[in-house]
This record gives sequence, structure tokens and C-alpha cells, in this order.
Amino acid sequence: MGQIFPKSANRVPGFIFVGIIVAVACLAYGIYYFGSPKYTDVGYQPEQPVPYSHLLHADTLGMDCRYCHTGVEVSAVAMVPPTQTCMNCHTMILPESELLAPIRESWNTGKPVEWVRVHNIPDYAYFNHSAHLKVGIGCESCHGNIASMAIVRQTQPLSMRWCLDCHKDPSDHLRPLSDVTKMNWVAPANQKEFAAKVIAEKRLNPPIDCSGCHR
Amino acid sequence: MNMDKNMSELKGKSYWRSLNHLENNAEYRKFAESEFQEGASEVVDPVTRRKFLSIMGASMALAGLVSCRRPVEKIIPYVTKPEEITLGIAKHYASAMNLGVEVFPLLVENHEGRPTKIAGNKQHPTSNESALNPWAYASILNLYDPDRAVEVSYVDEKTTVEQFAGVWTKNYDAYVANQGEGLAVLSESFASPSLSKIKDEFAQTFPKARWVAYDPVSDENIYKGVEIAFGQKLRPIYHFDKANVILSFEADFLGTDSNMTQNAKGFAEARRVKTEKDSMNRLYLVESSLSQTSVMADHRLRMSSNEIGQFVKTFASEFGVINESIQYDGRRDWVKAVVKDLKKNKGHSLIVAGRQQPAEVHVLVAAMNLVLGNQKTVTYHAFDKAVVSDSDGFYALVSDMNQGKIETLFMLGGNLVYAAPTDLQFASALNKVKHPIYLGTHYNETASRSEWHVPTLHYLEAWGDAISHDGVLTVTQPMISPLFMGMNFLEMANLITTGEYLKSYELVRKTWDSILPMDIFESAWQKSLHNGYFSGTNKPARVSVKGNLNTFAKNIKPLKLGVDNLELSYKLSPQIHDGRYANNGWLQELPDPVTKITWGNAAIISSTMAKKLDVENQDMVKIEYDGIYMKVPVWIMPGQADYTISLTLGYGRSVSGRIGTDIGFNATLLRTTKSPYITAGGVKISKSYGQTAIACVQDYHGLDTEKLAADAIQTRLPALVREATLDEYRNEPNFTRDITEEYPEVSMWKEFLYDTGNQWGMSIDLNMCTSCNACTIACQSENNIPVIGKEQVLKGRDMSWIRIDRYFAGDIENPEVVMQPVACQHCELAPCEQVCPVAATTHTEDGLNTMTYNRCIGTRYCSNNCPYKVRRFNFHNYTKDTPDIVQMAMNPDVSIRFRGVMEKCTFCTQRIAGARNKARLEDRGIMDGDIITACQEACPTEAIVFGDINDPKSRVSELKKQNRDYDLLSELNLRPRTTYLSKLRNPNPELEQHA
Repeated sequence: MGQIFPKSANRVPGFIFVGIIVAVACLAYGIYYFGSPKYTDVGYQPEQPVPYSHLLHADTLGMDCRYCHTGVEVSAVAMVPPTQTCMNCHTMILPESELLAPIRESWNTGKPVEWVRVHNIPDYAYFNHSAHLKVGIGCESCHGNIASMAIVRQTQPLSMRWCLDCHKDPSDHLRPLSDVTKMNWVAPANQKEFAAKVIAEKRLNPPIDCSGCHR
Repeated sequence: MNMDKNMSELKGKSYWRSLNHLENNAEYRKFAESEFQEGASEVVDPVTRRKFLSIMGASMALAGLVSCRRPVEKIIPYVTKPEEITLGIAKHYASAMNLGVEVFPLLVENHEGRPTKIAGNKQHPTSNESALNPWAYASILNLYDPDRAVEVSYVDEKTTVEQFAGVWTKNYDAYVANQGEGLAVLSESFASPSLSKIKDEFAQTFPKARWVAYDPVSDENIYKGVEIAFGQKLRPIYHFDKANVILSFEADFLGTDSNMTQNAKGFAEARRVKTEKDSMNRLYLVESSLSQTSVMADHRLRMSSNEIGQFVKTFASEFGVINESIQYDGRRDWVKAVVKDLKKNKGHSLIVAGRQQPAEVHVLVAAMNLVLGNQKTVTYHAFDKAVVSDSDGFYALVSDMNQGKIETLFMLGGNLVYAAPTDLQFASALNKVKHPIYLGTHYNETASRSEWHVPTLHYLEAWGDAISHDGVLTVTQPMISPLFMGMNFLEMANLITTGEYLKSYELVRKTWDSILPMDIFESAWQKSLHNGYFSGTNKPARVSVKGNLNTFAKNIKPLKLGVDNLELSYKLSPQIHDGRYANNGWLQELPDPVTKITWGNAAIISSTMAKKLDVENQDMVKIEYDGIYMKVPVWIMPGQADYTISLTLGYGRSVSGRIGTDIGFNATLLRTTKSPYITAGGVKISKSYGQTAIACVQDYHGLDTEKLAADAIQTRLPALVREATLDEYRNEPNFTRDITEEYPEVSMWKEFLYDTGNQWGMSIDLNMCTSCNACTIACQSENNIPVIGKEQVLKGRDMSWIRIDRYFAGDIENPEVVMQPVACQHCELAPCEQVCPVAATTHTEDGLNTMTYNRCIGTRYCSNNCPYKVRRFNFHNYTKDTPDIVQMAMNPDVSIRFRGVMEKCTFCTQRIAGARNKARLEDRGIMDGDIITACQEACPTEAIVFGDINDPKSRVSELKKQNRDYDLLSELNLRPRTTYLSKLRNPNPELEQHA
């Protein structure tokens, strides 16, 4: 009786075995990659009710972040500005603009503008803006170069691992306090020395315990 | 019962947790040894398996559609931001709560216009402390009660406040014309300048109408007694801090009596001991039912309430206040020794009697204090702008109602259809009133029988004012706009009086116009709002005894009690007051400080009585008095006088909300106008059929209930609650540590040193703990701890992070009581951490044992391995059905826990994080006192102190250096961060053999 399977069939179990390993590895990597905030969250750029341009306001006009985000130095939340802040200028500048209609409507009706949250961390993680600014972590470290964005986009994964990477070694992100709101900031050559000095002077010890953020 | 045998076998001082424990029968052991009660692991959710699968199917489909992207979240900013609000930073405002004539100055935490947590106003000169009693703490939840009345109702129609005001304005002129004939106002007692002012105007406008104040439970007898003795209407205020020796005749001054927090604070000051050289006060207590105050008693006599009157006469006679011959009834030595002690401490002693004792007793007590020269320990103040409860006036009003003389009756607060004594038949009297108008928070028993029901605004929704006994004026500032339609007391009273609907702000301002100095009114007003008070004085009155006391003393006649002639006493519930907090879940679930019963009440009897009746705990009995009977389960308590029954008021509400309806049994049914507090004699009790489950938390989470230790309990208990007398302490200053042998401390692994930075720790002084429960409630409010209901509590799933363990010692009929608050001990070598398979519970560098809820997979290994039994498991998704409005009471700084997650005390990690951030922003380190945990803040006796143990100068370090400091379960070498200071008692050496 002739052989049913050719001799090369002997190698099939091996292929299947390797194939399963590769498939499982691909699947695992797929979940790891496509499921991670790096893939799911970075680049998130929702449409806002008003096409507010940070590019125009923060870059071209050179407004400081803190003109609108007033809570950032004192509170846990930076705060999205109230309609009133927009109207400080826009009663004079472009008072008839079509794009600003929702703002004027909010001002007239007393109903808030519903902005879409871009940078979102889970409710069980308690992040505090003021603590980070106070030690010299720039806005840019987490939010990217906001001043270059016509529509705000998430540039960092904001995952727990990403947080912890910096908490373990913040030296790349520490700046002089005068530069925290600067965009496109370039670290000086002596950044490592500077960071070491800040860490020692301010006795920085960023928490890496769970209770640092979760309570 | 083999109780007696077990007692006799035990030598020396032995401790026991409950009567079940003392019996130590198989049932108790099975109960105590299981980590959770039977049924704790089964799923009782109404979601059946099929339903579960269909729900799962739906969520899978959804998952496919929405992929991994999380839902879009909106940011909704202000349109115009209030200048003073910074998002994310809580504001604190001064306000005040009134409860009868008592004033609680408050500091309210307000998150973006939403009050979430209240504490005492430390700056207020009357209270001077951040502590409050549980009622005040829990009152924040009343604001967010989903069952609050939300609309004005006229018979069955829903209408508005304006419409109601319109209707009254129409009738108003007719009443002005006939001088108020047929008009009456029935309010609760109050101490408010504005309301007093309106009341005076009311009397002028309607000379023939009347305004009666009545509280179901009040200090009326005390006031009456003082008035008889001194001939003036005065209110006694006790200064326990100045008293070295205190004799209490059933006064629960550390419990449900008026001014509890101030009493406790003063008492603690006179009792605090730092070294063996210090002295401490001494408390003699005579009472019928084990009270919260008994925890602090150095000598306690068990005596029925009506017999106490006679006993007071014995003392009065000894002090020469009356000249009646003395009958010692075998207590000669006791009386002689106490009298000698009191005389030795002339001017620094204090005699107090409970509000349930008749006025005659208070006459004698007032006179005795005067004889003892106690001008500093008790002061008498005139009722400045306060209106107190007047039972006789109320009874007269009801009789007029029955005769049809009252046409329009305004009821401002209270719930008298439920709470008035049964023989008044208030409900039927109300039917004879043409227009009963009720101002009340809930649609309740009274509202359902009124023509009009106008919802009352919560005190944090409207303006008000108050005046404390020493004349300090306090403002009640609203913290939030009214959530629902309604009026507050001032607005209603003003509407009645003037026919005009003015807002409470205008009314308060109008009153204060005449009080504050005119030239600087605005600045003084602003300052009063900021500080919460405006200084004023009400100096103590000079008093002297008027009249012949012998005649009053003759009215005190004791009865011989027996099995068929029992005494029944009614007490205010330490949880739900007179029923007004029945719909407050926090308070319903709060254990009674002494019996540890939650969600209901029971008839408390002594074990002798129980034997005679052949009843056990939870057996139903029938209590009969004057032809009326009620059925209620019994609960056997040590320390209860024989032939007496104690019942707590406030339970058995028939029309309350979703929480308070039909919880417990209504003791008011037996209460009569003749004997509103103590029904002495004529009460019968008989065994009925059946049982009612009582959710008593005492035997849950026991430290001494592991299988291994079951036989060794008696050697272990004295090491858990360490105590000694002051003399023993002086002779052996190190007794606390000598109780246990030193174990060699060998560790299985390399240990973390915890020697740098802040290291958090806590000290709890057992000598100070009065078991007032304020810490438990404050913790619940701060940490969003869910309410789970009676069913769940019965299964041993109670969620409170800080429990107060009760231990009895000595005589089974009249034991000493020790209370021990136990929360997570934050062990440096925590056993829970070692068994967690997912590292959900870990240690931080600053020594906290933390719980990461999102990692927890609910194996409950940690709870199993925790020797202190302080971990609490979310068996169900307890917060799933929390109504939106209740969610407003949640602290935004603390996560809400889901089903299947373990939780426990965090040392208020959110407050630590807050202090750390604040210190960082101010470029400094964390200082001692920056972090006050919620329980510490709530403790009126400062028994709980939290701080940095790495800082040798911190308060907590100083306390831990004391020679009374000890670890709980030190033999396990867990190095708990919470340590205890042992308890001391100060018995009279002359009486020790009788103690």
C-alpha cells in the first residue's frame, strides 16, 4: 500500500506547532498594542462645539495658558474656562462671528458650552495639576505642544505605566518654574545636572505607591 | 444556661463580649468562628442566571460596536464662575444646626456649591471643638434624603408655597380682627432670636391665640426642678472639666443628654492622664439601664429608675437639704463613702440627674449642688430668647382641640401624630381641628392627617440663627439653594404672624439689625458670617434655695417592683433620636453604643427577668400597661435593673420613607402623659410567640474568635483591653506592657525600615473613649461608606471601617464596660498583604497599608488573614441603586467601591494627599496637625490622635511614648501603626470591696 501522506507531511506538526506559537504571540501583541492607550488614546482629536484654536490664541497671539486655565497652579483641576472668559474679549473682537455663535448663545441663555474631554484619566486616579506645576513639570510634558494644535489632540498615552515612568525618573521633564507653560521647550545641555539639583533642593520624591494616585 | 458555671470557673478579672460569648455554646462558636455569617457567600441578587446571560449577551454586542474606545465625556464649565470658587478646592463655611434649644456650630465642607461633610466650628466660643454628636454629623444626609417632601400638598392636591401663602393671607385679616380666636401654633422648642422675635409679635397680633412648644423628649423636668428650687426659670450648664467627683443619678451626660459633646470634652479634660503622677476624676453612677456614660463609671449601682428618687433623698438628707429620716436599704457604706468623697471635694464636685427623673429629684439635686458649693461646676443661665418645651401647655392645647376650640392649627416641625403620648390621642384631636397645617420635612404620620403639608427646608438651605446658653449668637448660613419647594420655620412663622411671605434672609437680617452695633453693622455682620458667631454674654445667675424642700421631697415615693409590677422606661434613641432621623440610613445602621443593635429596637431586660420569663434574645414578648399592649422582641443586657424594661423611642414609624418605615417597634404606644419617661409599676410582661431577628453587630468581627484562640480567650482578652485602677497604675507604672511577655521578634524576610520621611501612626486612648459613635459616622460621611440594610447586617456584612468593640468585665449583673474602637491598624508587617494574590493591598513608604480597589479580585484572603478583622467586603454592588440625590452627599475625593472589592480604613489617605499637596504649594514640609483624620476630628474627648511617628515632637509620638501605650495582639509581631493607651479607673478605696 502506498503511503497516504508524502514524506514532507512529517514536518506538518512542527509547522502547526510553530504556527500556533506565532499566532498566539501575534494575538498577544495585537491585544497589547491595539488595546493599549498608546494606540487607542494617542491621536484622539474630537470635534468641539466651537472650533477653538490653541494655535491662534496661544501661539499667534501669545496668550499664556493660565489666562484661561486659572486653576492649574492652585488646584487639582486646571479648569476649562467659563463662557465669561471668552466674552472678556469677544464682545469686542469678532462679536458677530458665525463660529462663535455657540459662545454667544451660552452667554445669553446661561447654558454652558459642552466641550468634549480630550485628556481623560479614570475617575479612580486622582491627578493634581498644581503639584506638578509647582515642581516644574511643563504643560507640554503631558499635553504635547498645544500651541501648535488648531484642534486639540492627545499626544501622550496617559496610561499608568507612562505616569510611573516619569514618577520613577522625572529628570527629563523638570524645568525652571518660569518655563512651565512654554511650548516647544528644548532641554538645555545641562538638564541632568539641573534636574538633580531640583530634586535635591525640593526633596522630590514622586509617589510610586498605589495610594499616590488611587484612594 | 451554663453561664453561671463559666463565670465561676474564671478567676480574677475576666472579660466577655456578650452574654452569648459568656455562655460559649456551640451556636455562638459556630457564629463567631465563621468569617461571615451563613449565606454570606451565596448570590441573592434578583438577577437570575438566564437574565444574567441575556444581559451578558447584550453587553458583548455593545462591546463589539463600541470597540475599545471609551465613551465620550463632556466638560461642562460655568457660564459665569463665582469668584470665590476654584474648581477642585473645597470651601468651608460657618453655619449652625439647631436641635431643640441646643446649638451645634458647624463648619461645612462645600464642593462647588454642594455641601458634603460637616464638622464642628472650632472657633466658636461656646463649643470650641470640631467634634459633634452623630445626629449632627448625619444631618447632612437628611439634606439629600430622596424621600423628602418636594411639594406643598393641600389634601390630595399638589400646589405651591405661593398658593399656600395666598390662602393664609386671605384668612389672616379675619384672625387679626378676632384677635386670633381659634388659632394656635405648635412648634418644637427653639433658641433662635429671630423666631423668638416673631413669637413675641405673634402674641401681640393675636392676643387670644397661643403658641405652644413641645418636644416628645426634653429637659423640662430639669428646668422645672431648678425653678422650684431657686424660684427662677434657669437652665443648668455643667462644667465637668472643673469637677473632681461626679455623682450621676441616671444622667446619660456622655450619651443622649443635652450638650453631650461639651460634657464629654470637659469630662475628658478632668480624666486625662499623661503619667502615673497625674490625677483623674471619679464618677459614681446610679442607673437602671446600662448607658453610654457607664463606660466611664468608676462605681456603678444598679437600681430601678423610680427607686433612684428615694436614693436621692438619702443623699439630700445626708447633706441636710431635707430633714427626713434616712433609709439606707443596705447601701449605707456606699452612701457614706460617696458623701464623704463629695464633701472632701466641695466646690469641685458635681451631682447630676437624668432628664427622665421627676422634677422633685432635680429640686434636691440643685439644692445639694448649692450646699456643696459647686458654683463653678454647674452654672445656671436664664433662657435668653429660648422657648422650651411645655408639656402642660401642650396637653391643654390638645384638650381644647378635642373640644373644637381650635380652628386653625399650625404645626411647625415635630411629628406629634406619631410621637405624642398615647393617651392624648393626638390624631383624633387633630381630626377635630378644621384646618391642620403642617410644616415638616417628610410626608409622615402627621402630614397624612393634615389639610396642608408644607415641606420644611433643610437647615443648610435657608437662613436662621441661634443663641447658645452663654449668650453667643450664631448664624445658620445656607450652603445650597433649596433643592425642593418649601419654607423654613422662620418664613412660616413670619407668614402666620404678618400675613407676608418674606425670605429667611430678610428676617434674620431684620433681627440682627437690632442686635449688632449700628455704626459698624455691615462689617460686624460679615464678620459674624465668616466666624459663624457674634459674641454675646449671658452671665450665670445668682441662685439661692427658695421655699421648703421637704414638701417636694415627700412627693417622691418608691414602689415595690415585682414580676407583675414592672417598671418601664423610655429613652431617646442614640441613633434616630425621637424618630426624626428614622429615614437616615447612616443612623439606622449605626450600632447602639451599648447594646450594639442596629436597624431597630428591643425591650431591654436583665438576665434574672429573662430566666423568670423563660425567654431568650429575640423572643417576642407582650408588654402591657393600662389596657394597652405591644409586642416587641427582648434583648438581655447585663447591668439592667431587675423588674425593669427599657425601650428606645423613635422606632416603628408607620409613614416614613423607604428606609425608616416599619423599622423596630413603637414604644410611644405605651407612653402616657402621666408617666412620659418612667412608668413605675403596673407594667406586665409575658412571653409571646415567635421571634424577631435583631441585627446586633457585637459578635461580628471578633478579635478573639479564631479557632485556635477559642480556648485561650480568657488569657487573651486582658491583653486586648488592658486596664488598671489609678492606684495600681501608680504602683506599677509599666503594668500595661507587663501584661504580655516579650516575644522574640524574628522576621521571615528582610524588613523595610520605615525610618525616613513622614511615618503615619495613630494613638487611641481607651481611657478617653466613651463610645459615642461620632467617629463611626464621621468616617462614613468622609469615606462614602455604603448603607447595606438590616438583611445584610444580619449576615455580618456591616461596612463601617471603624467599629467599637464592647467588653464586659466582672459581675454579670452589673459589669464594668470597656469600649475599644478598632479600625485598620496599618501593621508594618501586614498579614493581609502577604496573602493577596494580585498585590491589591500593599504598603507605602510612609507606612500606610493601602487598598487598591481596581486591582482587587475579591478573593477575601486578606480578610481571612487579618487578625484584627477590620476589612470589609462589598458583597453586592451596594452603591448601584444610590439615588442621584444621595450621590450628592458623596465625598468627591474618595472612590466609590464596586461589588467584589475589599475596603477598609485608609487613615484618610485623601486628607494625607491633600495636606501633602498643600505643603508642597507652600514650600514646606507637612507639620503636625496638618492632617486630622475624620475620626480624630469627630472625637469629643480627643481619644484619637493621628500624626507622624517619625517626628519625635508630634502629638502622636508624645502619646506613644507614654507607659500606657500598647499594641493590639502584640504577640503576633505585626507592628501595628495604631496603638492604644490602656484604660484606667479611679475607684474609691473605701468602696473597692463593694465595687
